[in-house]
Amino acid sequence: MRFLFRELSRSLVTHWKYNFLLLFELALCVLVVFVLLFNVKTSAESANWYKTTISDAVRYQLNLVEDPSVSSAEIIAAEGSNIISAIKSNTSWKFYSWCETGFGIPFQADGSFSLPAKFESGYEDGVHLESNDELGVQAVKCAYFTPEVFQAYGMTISEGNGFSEDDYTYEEGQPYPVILGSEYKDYYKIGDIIDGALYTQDDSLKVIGFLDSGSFIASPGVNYLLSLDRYIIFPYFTKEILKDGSVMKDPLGGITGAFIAEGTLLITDPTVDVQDEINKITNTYGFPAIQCVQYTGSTIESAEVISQRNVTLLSVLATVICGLSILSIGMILKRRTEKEMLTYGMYMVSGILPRKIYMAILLELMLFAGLAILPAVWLSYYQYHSMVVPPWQLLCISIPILLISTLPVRKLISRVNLDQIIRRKSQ
Amino acid sequence: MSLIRLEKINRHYGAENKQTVILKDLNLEIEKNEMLAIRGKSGSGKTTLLNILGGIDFADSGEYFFLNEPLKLRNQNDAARFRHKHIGVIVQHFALLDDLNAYDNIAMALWADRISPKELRSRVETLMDELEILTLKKQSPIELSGGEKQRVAIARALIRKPDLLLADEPTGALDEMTEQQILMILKRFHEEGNTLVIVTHDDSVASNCSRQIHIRDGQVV
Repeated sequence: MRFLFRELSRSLVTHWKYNFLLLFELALCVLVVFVLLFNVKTSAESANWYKTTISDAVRYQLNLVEDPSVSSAEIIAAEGSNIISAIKSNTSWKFYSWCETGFGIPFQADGSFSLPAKFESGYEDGVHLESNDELGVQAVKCAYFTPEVFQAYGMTISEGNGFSEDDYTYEEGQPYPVILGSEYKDYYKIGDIIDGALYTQDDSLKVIGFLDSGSFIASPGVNYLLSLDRYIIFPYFTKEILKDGSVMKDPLGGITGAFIAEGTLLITDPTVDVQDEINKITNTYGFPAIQCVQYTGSTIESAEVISQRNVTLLSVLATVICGLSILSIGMILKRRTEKEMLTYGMYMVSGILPRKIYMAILLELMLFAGLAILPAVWLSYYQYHSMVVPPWQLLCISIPILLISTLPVRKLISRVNLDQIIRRKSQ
Repeated sequence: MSLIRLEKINRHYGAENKQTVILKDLNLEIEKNEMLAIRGKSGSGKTTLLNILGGIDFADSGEYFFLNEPLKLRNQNDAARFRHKHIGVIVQHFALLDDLNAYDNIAMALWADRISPKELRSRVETLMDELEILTLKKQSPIELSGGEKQRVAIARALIRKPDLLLADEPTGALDEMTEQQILMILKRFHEEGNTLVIVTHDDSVASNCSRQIHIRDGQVV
């Protein structure tokens, strides 16, 4: 052990330039593979999600034929809740829906944002929300959910509680109960009150729970999954108790159109003619037509194929990058070893086994393997606030790369010509 | 009693069609407690013979007996193990490691041994004291004179108390006074009952040895 540690400390100092280059190269490779792995993982999760959650069930996406904001706005607002009730009461399917909304969190006293930009609505699309400067609020991603959404997408609560039946009735003046996406855990805890602007400038939210990391929802009409890790989830209120004690039905009537347009029917009776049933409901209330579009097998299949193709492509890229790193690190190590041959030669002349010299090199490289994963760990925490790819998986990248890269070194050391080395030094 | 016996040792360099014969059917016997000088012209194969004795180079054919046992060195691991047990080597021009100080250049030979740090320090310091280089322990090799470097190289070879000390031109690069000092150290080692083999061009070094052999055309004459 003494030799291993003495040689490690000597080599770290003597070859600091080579070592820095080695570490940089390896860390870069691990970082790139980490990003690729993360995408492979997400892609594989998407494919798996489609397979297990969507593909084995018959679903219909509802589409409002008319634009709810134009001619039929009044009737949609007036009859929206009746339509939803009628759709919900039909036993041939389960109806669930969600729609996006906005909530503004005020800037801090010094004018800076209260939360990182990643929580802002439009962040993923690269939208800057400078217009909010006038209001002094940061618009964050929010959505209303009906109770069935949680079940339909298999969501679980990691901390606190889900929405109770009472939570779907809003009491005027009270904070709105909300469930937060997992990435909010660094900023809020259960029971916190978040002041901000929902309908007025003085609304507030009460945190009752956190969603599990990696919760998704399907974005209707688009073949990708929407991560809820940065979302604030509101219950889709069906009633509101006003301050005077009176009860207002359908307080979200104004957004009923959008809500229906985001609706999904999960079919439980395969014999039902879905479009016909929906037509009957809309005709009863003189409601604009709702078109029902089945999630076709090809839609699901193509989404899955895209995911699988991504997985394959990213895996090939990761393999190529690892291969290139092995070549490059192997060259650096070989060069370093060639420069060290007199030292290694004198070790051997003094009776130190080549095997031990190789072990000292391996020990040094294991140290580099550990250090090389740190940038990826930092990126993971900085960007995703969790170890999206566990450290042991990152070590599974860095260690084999180094082990394979040392093969030429092993050959150099075990086949060393001591006679030549000594004579060269003598000359 | 013979310490080493070489029988029909052959060594050549180069490709098969352009071979340079270095040693040809060489026979040699070295007794225990002998101080042997190997002499010969440049290129006669003195260093090759010394390297074969130390397992630094390998013979193409022939038999090597150490303490009357045939020695089979299949690879560098075997050779290093053999040197670790029996051999100390002083190479030409010292070959000290510049990134280690004088103390570590000597202690390095014990790094792989299972001895306590205290014993290691004591052994190195005692030997450095005997060779009058204890005050130089923190010095880098580039700060040492030729004689001091040679003493460090000798200490490195002696630190594990070998059965056989091999020295290639140990006084080659030294002035006359330093040469005498180094010779005294080697003689003292011999007088303590140890065996030495020295490759040398120097008559005064050779005359201090108990036996001299000459190599010519790859053979002992």
